[in-house]
Amino acid sequence: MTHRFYGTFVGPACITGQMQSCAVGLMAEESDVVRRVLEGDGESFRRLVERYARPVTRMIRNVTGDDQTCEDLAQEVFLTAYEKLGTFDPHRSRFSTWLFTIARNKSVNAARKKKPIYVADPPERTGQDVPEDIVARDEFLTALDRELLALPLDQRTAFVLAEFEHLPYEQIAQIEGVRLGTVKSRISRARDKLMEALHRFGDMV
Amino acid sequence: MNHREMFDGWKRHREQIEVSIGFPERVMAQIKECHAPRQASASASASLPRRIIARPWAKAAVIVLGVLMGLVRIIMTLDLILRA
Repeated sequence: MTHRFYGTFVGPACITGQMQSCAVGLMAEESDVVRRVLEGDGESFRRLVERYARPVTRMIRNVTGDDQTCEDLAQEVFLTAYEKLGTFDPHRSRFSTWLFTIARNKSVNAARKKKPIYVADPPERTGQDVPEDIVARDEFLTALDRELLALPLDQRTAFVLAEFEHLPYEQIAQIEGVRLGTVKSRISRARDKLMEALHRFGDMV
Repeated sequence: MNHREMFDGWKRHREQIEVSIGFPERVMAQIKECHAPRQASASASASLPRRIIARPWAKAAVIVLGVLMGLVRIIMTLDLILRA
């Protein structure tokens, strides 16, 4: 089983091949923080917010396609997490799994309601002489963004968690509430669709 | 640039994100605003049901206790009826 970790969590000890013990230490530390918050030390929650602010905001942005409100939604995620912290069971899942489940549900609800913003129009260029390859590159990135947002939501969330958050498939299965095989097939289908788009646009670039 | 490199470049592009510097402060301020009266003193009593929900053995203990109390009550009622 391969474990992948967020860049922000990977300290020198992890890089030198002690990933397993690093993850165990992290889980113990997070359980300790959760216990302290439940005992009334609300300020301890700040450590969890600081640790997960980037991954949660990024996940929301990549699922909803909304650059403007992803931070507001991330704020809602942390508020909900604080309110429901008593239901988190460290024996059942990691804190990150539990938090990403809240983030996933909120971003799916938001994605159903809203029209994505960052793919609305390619960036407008006001300068006179913009190198053609930069224009082509921007168009290419926008095209892939559009393809990502065209994916069905179940495939999109699984793909985002695997490719941008680097979560192991087992953890994604827990977040999505489906079997491991289902997660693998969703990610594989999403990847195939994006690669197909890549070939299509790549030939044009 | 081949397709794989282009794909990886796009992924790197989408992985970049900057969260505003005051984000943790905003979250903590909102938490304080919403839950100020509930903190500290509430943790001992109000969080008890939550703690029970979070622990399977505690849930089982509460159920067993409830069943036992029910049985005792039935026995006491039967005893009362038979003695009357």
